[in-house]
Amino acid sequence: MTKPPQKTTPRQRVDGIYQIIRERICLMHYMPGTLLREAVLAEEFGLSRTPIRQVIKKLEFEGLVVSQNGVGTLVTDIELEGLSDIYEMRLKAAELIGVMNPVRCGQKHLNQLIKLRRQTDELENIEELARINHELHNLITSLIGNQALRIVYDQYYFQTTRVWYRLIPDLWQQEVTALQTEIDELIVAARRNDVTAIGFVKRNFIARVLFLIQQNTQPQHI
Amino acid sequence: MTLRLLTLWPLEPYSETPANKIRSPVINASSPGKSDKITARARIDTIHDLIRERICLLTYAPGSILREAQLAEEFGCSRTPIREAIKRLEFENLVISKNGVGTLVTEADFDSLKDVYEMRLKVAELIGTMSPTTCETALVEKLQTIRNRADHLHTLENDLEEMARINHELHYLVSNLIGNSALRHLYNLYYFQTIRVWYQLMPHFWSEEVQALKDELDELINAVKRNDIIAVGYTKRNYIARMINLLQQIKQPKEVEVAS
Repeated sequence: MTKPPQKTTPRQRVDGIYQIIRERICLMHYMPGTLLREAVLAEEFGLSRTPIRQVIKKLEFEGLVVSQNGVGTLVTDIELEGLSDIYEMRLKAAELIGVMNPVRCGQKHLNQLIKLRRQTDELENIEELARINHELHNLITSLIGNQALRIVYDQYYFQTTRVWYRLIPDLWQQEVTALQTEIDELIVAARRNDVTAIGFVKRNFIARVLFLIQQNTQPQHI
Repeated sequence: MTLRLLTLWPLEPYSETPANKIRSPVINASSPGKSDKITARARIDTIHDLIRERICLLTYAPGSILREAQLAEEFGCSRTPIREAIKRLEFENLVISKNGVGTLVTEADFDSLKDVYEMRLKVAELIGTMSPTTCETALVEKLQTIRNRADHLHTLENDLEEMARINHELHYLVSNLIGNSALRHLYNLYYFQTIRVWYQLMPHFWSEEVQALKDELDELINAVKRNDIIAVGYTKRNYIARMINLLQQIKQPKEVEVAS
């Protein structure tokens, strides 16, 4: 999976590694509490520790890792608390996808959606589900024309999506069906190049997950 | 005309960091013990806010080099917190580090910030709709105070600094009404990313901009009096839109030049 970026500027290199590590955290390859070791990562990517340190700083800035004195850098735990504001903004960001100068949704996007939908028929485990959801996210993000919005939409996804993954094991069939329904709706919207509808579908399915999380984090009996 | 502006003024309590922390540029070494981590973070916050302030008010003009050693000396701390603060500014696109050169203050031009401006409008629209806090009665007084100060704005040469300061304080008064922390973060971020463009233009539009600021304050005071935060957000939105329009008008002739 690791593709150490080559022949690139230092900035692109840092960015590439940042994306890889962020993905690992969000796909739970690095579980909450995992210690990230600069030296190990530096070796893996064949770089000095300076760019790795920069990447870690950026992840820390976004709340995906936390550095603790005397311990090192840990992947943060997932709690809805503190994320509800971000979730709320995520809904708003999704609503804006179609209205702020979106990229045209063409045949290429449609084909990718159809391909992802097909893959959901053969899902066997949570990693695969997460992977498809992740690719879906990247696909939708690529439709966002406004760069500032794209950054925010992407960042909110990475900050929140792990909360959902944690719930999936208990709700497997329900969540698979929901993902399939979501992609079906997105395909319908993509067929008519209606990016506003795509944004609203995303909004609704994010709202659905938020509702689910709130239900599942409420104390059962008071 | 260059902006002579903005030697660093004594800072007013409009920062995200409590005023008592930011007022003294010398940041004391933390006392050892449990509070170490908190003080270390607070120190970085303070330094970050202070440098951001200077960048946005053009004290550090676009293209200036930020020197870690010099800043460390000024703030009386090691280079580590300086480096951290600078990293954060880099994430916010206010500085950029270039190999072999150092850390430079980024350029602020309308073209590269168009998308940010557009988002700034949307974010302002959301202020009143996303669980805002309520307007305290003190807010009307605070707005009234800066409105009165706006009445004393006279000439560019004398008062550009004061104008920037009023605008800055206004920003924080509105920002503090935002209940959703993610929204507040964006509102602040976009403000700091774009406001320099406006300050740079002030020499060309002084009296117009002073009047606009007064009008904006009047509208905001009216909205706050009836605790109508949706109206506060829309007023901000409209004055940001006004500014965008102004910036576009200035852009126009240049575009023609480029095209020919």
